[in-house]
Amino acid sequence: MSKKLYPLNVGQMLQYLPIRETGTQRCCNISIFSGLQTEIKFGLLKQCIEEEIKRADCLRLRFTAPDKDGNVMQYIADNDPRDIPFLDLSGMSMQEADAVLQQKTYEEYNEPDIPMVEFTMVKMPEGYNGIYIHIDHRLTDSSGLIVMINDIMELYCHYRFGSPYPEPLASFEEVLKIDLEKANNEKRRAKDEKFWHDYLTENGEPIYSDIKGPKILQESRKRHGDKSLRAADVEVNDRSVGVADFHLEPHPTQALLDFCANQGVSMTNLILLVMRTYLSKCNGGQDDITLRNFVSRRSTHAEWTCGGSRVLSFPCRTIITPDTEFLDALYEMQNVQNRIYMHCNYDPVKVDKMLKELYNAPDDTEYISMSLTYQPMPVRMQNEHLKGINIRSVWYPNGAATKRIYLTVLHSSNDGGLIFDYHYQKAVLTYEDMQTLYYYMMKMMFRGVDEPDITIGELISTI
Amino acid sequence: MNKEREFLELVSNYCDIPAENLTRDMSFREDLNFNSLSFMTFLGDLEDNFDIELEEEEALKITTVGEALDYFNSRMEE
Repeated sequence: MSKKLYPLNVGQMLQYLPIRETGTQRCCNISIFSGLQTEIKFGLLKQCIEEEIKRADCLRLRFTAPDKDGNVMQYIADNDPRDIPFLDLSGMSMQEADAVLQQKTYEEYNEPDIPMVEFTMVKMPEGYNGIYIHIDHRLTDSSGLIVMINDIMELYCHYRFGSPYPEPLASFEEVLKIDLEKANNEKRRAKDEKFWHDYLTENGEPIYSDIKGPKILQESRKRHGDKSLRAADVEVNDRSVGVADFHLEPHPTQALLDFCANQGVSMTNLILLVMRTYLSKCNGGQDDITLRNFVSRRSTHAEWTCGGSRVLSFPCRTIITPDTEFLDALYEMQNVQNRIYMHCNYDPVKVDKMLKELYNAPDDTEYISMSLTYQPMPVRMQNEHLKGINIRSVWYPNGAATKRIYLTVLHSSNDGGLIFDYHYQKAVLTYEDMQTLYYYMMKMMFRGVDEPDITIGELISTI
Repeated sequence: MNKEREFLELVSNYCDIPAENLTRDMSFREDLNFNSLSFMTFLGDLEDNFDIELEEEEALKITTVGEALDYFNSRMEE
């Protein structure tokens, strides 16, 4: 029976592009183990996962083989009759068990017309029992995955403890139709295109900055024989990823959240500000810094529960002079971000292409060295029957770093603290570089929060 | 459906509160849990659904449903 075929939406295209560039689907995988430190009835859990595959149509997404231009189409399979396997790793150390799941994360979904997700029920060491999910990023992003895991556990609680049956999830297919319709709205597209053109030209060509200092750009200038080059070379041959995780305790985390609430600013903007301030410090006080911010475009109830990949990323450029006070700089960051948010339906791939073409940047060069995604929603079991039980959620890196530094900030499932999860290209950076980056980001953030009238120049010179 | 009702239905999509329960004094941020991203995409939807042009600076001063409705009505009249 023929299926209704749809093109990818802009969020999915953003995930698909690295597959085309690297020739491997691996860079598009996300994998998580999420489990509870309690006994789980695996037979029932299996039934709930099977039900979730019926409830969440995005889990049944499949892709056609690429056409002659490399484009794929997607469709939703009626069902997925595969068994849900069970893996007992409880006899291992946690490190060994994580290594097994890490290895599974490298498995690729390279064939057309196949299921793009695999659920495995896992018994982990230390009494943790739960689910490992290995999924193509085009089916869901981390926010969508968290909604899905919470939904599975709500189903589990319904059948096991008699709690209310969870509300239906929104249809991915229906939201996709709206997305595609919006993308075809000529008036909106023209408005967004004008915004991005103006945004990318109002301050001229951006300039690269790096935590290793100006030498990175200098080296690229030498390599290209162009003293005025403002973009630096990207590492494309060795994309192996390093991971550095740091945990900020609940009390200081709360201080940051309170500050943001009191000042009417977002945590995203606070983190972006300290990232750009540290880059400024590393580059002799350079006041023109561009970062990349990844946002999950989920605003309506349907967008929150439909799955799919809704992550988009855009360059976030700020020019902040040293005499600007920390709080004013934060509002400046917020203004820039707000302007971007209003035009974030636009295809981010086209924005990058526009930037490259405007300034004739050479192939495989970038203006941006650091990217951020802030994930405000933790895997947290809301159901009263699961409250107080320890949760273990581990995101396993897919082994391919497409960005020089990609920072994910997420809330801990257990204690309400923040986790700063840095993924970096091992070919060019080290774990110690990430330690230093985290150290300075924290110092700058807490000094700025304690003394919002301190100038950016003082922050840079005294920390 | 009149325009005002359509406006409230659109707000309702973003906050999961039925349109009939929305009141003029409700704050987008505090009462309806809008964040910067959802508020800005809401403004974009307003423009697209009603074919109006919003002044970003003016729109960013809005804090309550009532203020948004008044501003929306003023743009519809132009």
